[in-house]
Amino acid sequence: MHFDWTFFWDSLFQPSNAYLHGLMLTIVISILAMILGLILGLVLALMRLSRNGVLRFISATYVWVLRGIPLLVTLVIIYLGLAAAGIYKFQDASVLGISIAGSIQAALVGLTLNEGAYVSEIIRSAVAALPEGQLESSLAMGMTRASAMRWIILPQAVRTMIPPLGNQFNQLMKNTSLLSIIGVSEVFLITQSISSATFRTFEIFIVTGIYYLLLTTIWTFAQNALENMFNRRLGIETVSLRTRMASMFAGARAKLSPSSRD
Amino acid sequence: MRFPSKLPPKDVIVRATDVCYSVNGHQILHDVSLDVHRGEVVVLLGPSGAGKTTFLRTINMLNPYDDGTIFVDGHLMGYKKTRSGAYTPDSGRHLAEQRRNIGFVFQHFNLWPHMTALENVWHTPVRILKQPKAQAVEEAKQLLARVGLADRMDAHPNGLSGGQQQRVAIARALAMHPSLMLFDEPTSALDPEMTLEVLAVMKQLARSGDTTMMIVTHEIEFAREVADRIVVMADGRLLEQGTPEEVLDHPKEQRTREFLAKVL
Repeated sequence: MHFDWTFFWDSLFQPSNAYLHGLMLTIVISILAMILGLILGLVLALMRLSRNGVLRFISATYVWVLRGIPLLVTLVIIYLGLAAAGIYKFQDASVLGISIAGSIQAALVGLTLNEGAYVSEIIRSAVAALPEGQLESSLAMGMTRASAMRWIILPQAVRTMIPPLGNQFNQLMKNTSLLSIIGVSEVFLITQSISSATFRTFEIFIVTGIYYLLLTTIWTFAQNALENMFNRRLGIETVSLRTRMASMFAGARAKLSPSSRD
Repeated sequence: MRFPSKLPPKDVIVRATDVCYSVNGHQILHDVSLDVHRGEVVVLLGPSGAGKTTFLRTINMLNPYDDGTIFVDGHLMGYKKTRSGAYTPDSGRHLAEQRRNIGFVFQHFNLWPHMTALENVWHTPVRILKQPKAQAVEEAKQLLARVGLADRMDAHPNGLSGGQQQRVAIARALAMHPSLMLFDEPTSALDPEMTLEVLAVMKQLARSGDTTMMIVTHEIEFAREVADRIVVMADGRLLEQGTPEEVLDHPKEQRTREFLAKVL
């Protein structure tokens, strides 16, 4: 086996501009798609929780369809399928002086549509997990259902939502690698092109793996900080990531060697 | 639904007429009729499953009744009067406004855990009634002091004992200046010591005389002390009613005697 260490270290610590650009695109698309997905998911969840049967049906059907189709298929339908059928072709466009490729627009649409379905389920189940008494006491105080949602239900449900939403964002960042199929020059596509130009496939994909790991690890810390922020607002004691991991590993150690416990 | 042609007199704050309520085809309330007068303290007693809580919850429409009418403070609950004077159902904003006149205290407190005790009390006056915040916060502090929690105002509900939480819940309801307070087994989830502190707050409220109260409870001695009138329910019907002496010491109905024999 030959592992080109020089190439590996160079790629890791002195990535080319194209590579950095791809990495940036991965981050920006992930964040934008998550924000848009949160908005769409909230709308879908409120429709699902409403007393109007038509809205509930539309929302449930949407979630059923979008969750049942692989993201990859959704992306190809939106970018290539719509164009091939002559229905809609994403054109490069300029927004606030920044040129946005058609493929990136299609990517954002596809990721948002997909993300919205998952987010709405997370919000819906977080709301459903709250005790019935919370809605009842809000109604009894003279709130409309909408006010109760705004002031009492959603602020509490947010705390329950953060862990699954955090996992969802983690998934989303990794799923952006699928965008390579519609030609978005995010980090995976750049890696592929470096790989085919240099034949250092093993090295460069390990570098890219490390960068994905770095992104998701940073997010883990951010998510922990967010959870603690909401815990404080609820008057719950906060848990630092270190103690959380320490207890996790302590549990694992205890399982591995029960005799070595002191 | 038949609507009475005349409004109840001004001093009748609650007029329930032939109220029926069923869940899944099972009838829980059978033609319950009751008048409560302004300033009166009415205690509802009766065996479990008698429909006391169900009846209390129909008054502020947490249970939407199927038949009969309930007027609270001259308003037909769950209905809106059109210009022509006819009633049309409204379970949205109009019902929400009607409920602001009715305080409800739950068995399990149902405080909002993401807010401090103080925020629980001023939240609705400020966010929903749009009262000036400084004034509402000041009043909330006074209410919490009145229920003996001046030093626990900044605690979250999960940092308070059950008795303390229930007292916050009473203050929260009072902050809306309701003309009617409904108490649904307010001490059933509490241990004896905490029960006493909640009952003390309710006695004080009852003695002040300006709040109409309807209380579902199993605390017979408390009922004797505060009630102007005791209403006994069984099997979803009103059984008998009268002053505490009449009902507790000289019950007319056999079912009442059986019930009292068990709890006294």
